[in-house]
Amino acid sequence: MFNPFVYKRPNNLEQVFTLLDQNEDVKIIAGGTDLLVKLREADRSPELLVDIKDLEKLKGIKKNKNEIKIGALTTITEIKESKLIKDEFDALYQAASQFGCYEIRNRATIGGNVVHASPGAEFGVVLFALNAEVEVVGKRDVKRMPIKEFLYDVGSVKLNNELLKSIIIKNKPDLKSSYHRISRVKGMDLALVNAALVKDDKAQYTSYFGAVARTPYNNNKVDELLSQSNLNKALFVKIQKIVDESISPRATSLRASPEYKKKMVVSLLKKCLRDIGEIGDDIDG
Amino acid sequence: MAKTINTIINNEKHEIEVPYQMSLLELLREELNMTGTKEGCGNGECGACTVLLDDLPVRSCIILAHEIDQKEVVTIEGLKNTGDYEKIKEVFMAEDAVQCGFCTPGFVMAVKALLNRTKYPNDQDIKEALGGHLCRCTGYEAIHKAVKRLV
Repeated sequence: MFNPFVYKRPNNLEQVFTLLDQNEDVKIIAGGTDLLVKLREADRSPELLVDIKDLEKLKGIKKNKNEIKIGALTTITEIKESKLIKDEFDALYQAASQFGCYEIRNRATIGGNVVHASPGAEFGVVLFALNAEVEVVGKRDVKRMPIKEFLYDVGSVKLNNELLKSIIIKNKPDLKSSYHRISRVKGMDLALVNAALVKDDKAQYTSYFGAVARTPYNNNKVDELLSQSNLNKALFVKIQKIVDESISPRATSLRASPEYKKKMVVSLLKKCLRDIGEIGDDIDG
Repeated sequence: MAKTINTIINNEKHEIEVPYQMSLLELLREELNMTGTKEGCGNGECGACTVLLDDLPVRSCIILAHEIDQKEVVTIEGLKNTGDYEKIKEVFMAEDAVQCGFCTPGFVMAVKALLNRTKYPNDQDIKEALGGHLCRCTGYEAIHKAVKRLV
């Protein structure tokens, strides 16, 4: 048994906002794969859990003109099995494929993954690299903002009696993307370090790394070097130097030392580049 | 606090009063006496508590009993006397894919769900289906081989 709480599953947004207004100590539950694990370890539960799984408006993957909208309640399995996602955003497909295990993917939602804002979360780096936006729905209106603004610290997103409604990604032709991670075991483990790389239609690179800082980490200098240089061994020595000097992963991490993480950042970057066909096997690591 | 839920478990309707803070796993094992579903880690990591919820395999230890209100659940008990169950049992025996047996109900549910979604699973499909299940005795190879015999 969990520590006591009251559970409600409203089927429309109005009811959700009324419950949020009337209760101070309330948590939203969607897939529950993060929340219920946390509640099992906690000394007490919130007074009220509001299950939003029945909100149809927050579900599904849609294409509108030049953007793709992923409802916050879309499960990881639905993302992995979406042809639209696989065709347009390899990195999203790869992140969904490496997420948890099959049973967890059937339950976990992309919205839950984003709002929990764990430093090594699969979707954080991918959505930052794709410059995604989010839609936040409140009692009165729907706001749209960049995910970089929305997710601002470990476990912290800008929600104030509001819900994450959807994630929006602009799809450009010829966009290439890739996601890789290092974990102790394949599947069912969190990433020690993860990386997402996007090369846009103008051959500009954007790279983001997870679990090396409080939020997905980007270094402009690295992206500029990638976009403007020949991708050879010497370049990666240069990039390693920049990474070594600019990030300081916390030394108290249970999973990996700062030195190891710094090396893995560059290794994952190479893996992503290899994935999208920009470098070959002659560049090792 | 408790409230009544309406659910179908193994083809049987249940109207039952359940405390809000009870997990689906606890409902199955402690209220309905269906002890075939096992509790391993209690955190959704080991797969021993796998059941089908509206046809999809899920982890019953990290689902609330109230979440199955108006939904349908199938447990290992519900597979009894079905053709797939007999087939899965045979191949697991043939490959010695069971030793202590604690993880087995979870594996069997995962395999059943795999067969539900594809008649001819390839190696990758099998790995995906079994990937989140821990077995401390047999070492996976035997289980993988057993499932391959089904194809």
